[in-house]
Amino acid sequence: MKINVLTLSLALGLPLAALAQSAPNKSYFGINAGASYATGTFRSTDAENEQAGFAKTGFHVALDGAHFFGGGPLGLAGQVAFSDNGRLLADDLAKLGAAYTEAFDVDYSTVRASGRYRRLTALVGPTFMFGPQKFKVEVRGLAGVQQLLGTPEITVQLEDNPATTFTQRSSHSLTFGYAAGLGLHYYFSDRLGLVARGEFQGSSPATIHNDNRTTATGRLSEKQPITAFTSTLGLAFTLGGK
Amino acid sequence: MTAFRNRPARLLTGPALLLALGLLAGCNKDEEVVAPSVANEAITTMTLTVTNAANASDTQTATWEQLLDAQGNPVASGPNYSQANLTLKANTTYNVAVGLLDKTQTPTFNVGEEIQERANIHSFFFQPLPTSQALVIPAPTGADTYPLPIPTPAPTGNPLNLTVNRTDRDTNNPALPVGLSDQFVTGAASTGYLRVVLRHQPNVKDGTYAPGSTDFDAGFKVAVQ
Repeated sequence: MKINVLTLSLALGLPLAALAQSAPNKSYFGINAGASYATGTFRSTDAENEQAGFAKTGFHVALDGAHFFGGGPLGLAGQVAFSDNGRLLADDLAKLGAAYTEAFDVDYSTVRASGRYRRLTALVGPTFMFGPQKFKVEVRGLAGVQQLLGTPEITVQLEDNPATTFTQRSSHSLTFGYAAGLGLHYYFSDRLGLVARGEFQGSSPATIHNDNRTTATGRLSEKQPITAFTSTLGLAFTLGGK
Repeated sequence: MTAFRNRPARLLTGPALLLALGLLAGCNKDEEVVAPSVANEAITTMTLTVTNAANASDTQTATWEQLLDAQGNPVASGPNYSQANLTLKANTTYNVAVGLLDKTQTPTFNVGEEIQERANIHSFFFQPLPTSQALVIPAPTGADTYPLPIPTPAPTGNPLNLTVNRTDRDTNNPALPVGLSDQFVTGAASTGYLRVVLRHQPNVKDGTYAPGSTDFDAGFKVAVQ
């Protein structure tokens, strides 16, 4: 909550304070990389929650850019990003297995998992940048599409009966995606700057397909919400003349 | 400052290559875990409570019991089927409730409630014997036997004129019979046996007997008169 208040204060207060001394903005493109911290239900490891994703902190890399209209503070930004939020570990499977064993009232269940949470996002939206020539603050909100490159595939067998085996398939859904956040630009020169970003990413729930779920029993995940906070560091290359 | 012109693409090449290597090397290890149950209840006792649909005061119960030793194995004295007798009126409809108990626990545990909660993976099957119809429950093979008091092999001859309809349904899609609540419909006077089997069918329940395993197998002597 404190973080939210701070973020909101920065997002609203800094623009007003700095707008007066803002230098003209140049369009830029850049690359940045850092961490993607899975949040909320996506990160949850509660096996009783059918949408808990058991996602982890992983890698995030993005190519982005912005065009500022007439050098003003308002521009159009775009971002193509890849995010990895890890895989299911043995502890996660132990929780899932215990839940399946209990739900199906069996002596034991064997749970296998493969694959990782990987996704591409392509987003565009308004951006607002202000500040003096060397140091600028950018606030942006983006929306677009998220293409899942895969989610963990989970296979469960109850006791030693192969006929009971069911699978939660890896998802390759295309969903609506969005992001909002703050970037801090520091320019070493007219052309090159360092950018630190913090962004919240979300999407509409991804569809999960399940095979051989004969009975309406036990954990059945059919929708996977995906939310993450990304923090990155990167380079920005300005375009156009002085 | 102009030294940076035309160099962005070159500057991006290094990070991009590192990134590609990182992605290619991304750990994709598979995991496997076997999760055993903490505890499983046993079933020792099955009771049929049979009520004449036309006369609620016409009620009887029949009980079949197989007690277990401390290791969970059937006691050497075998099942107690002295109370496993039903005497039904001819051409009559009865409402039937199946009860299950675990007497290995103190106090006695009502397994019937557990089965009700897990109806989507359980199913009762009823086999009147002798029968002129195809068997619902396959006859035992090899060293297996019918639960006493049903003799092995089962008697042949005039069929027991009893039809069993399971009246309750689970929440599967489509809904499938469970068998905790049933209807017995009798025909002309006859005698025989009723075998009742509870099948545990986790993620394989399809309305048929075959998939899964047997949780409990009981026998009752039936007279229709």
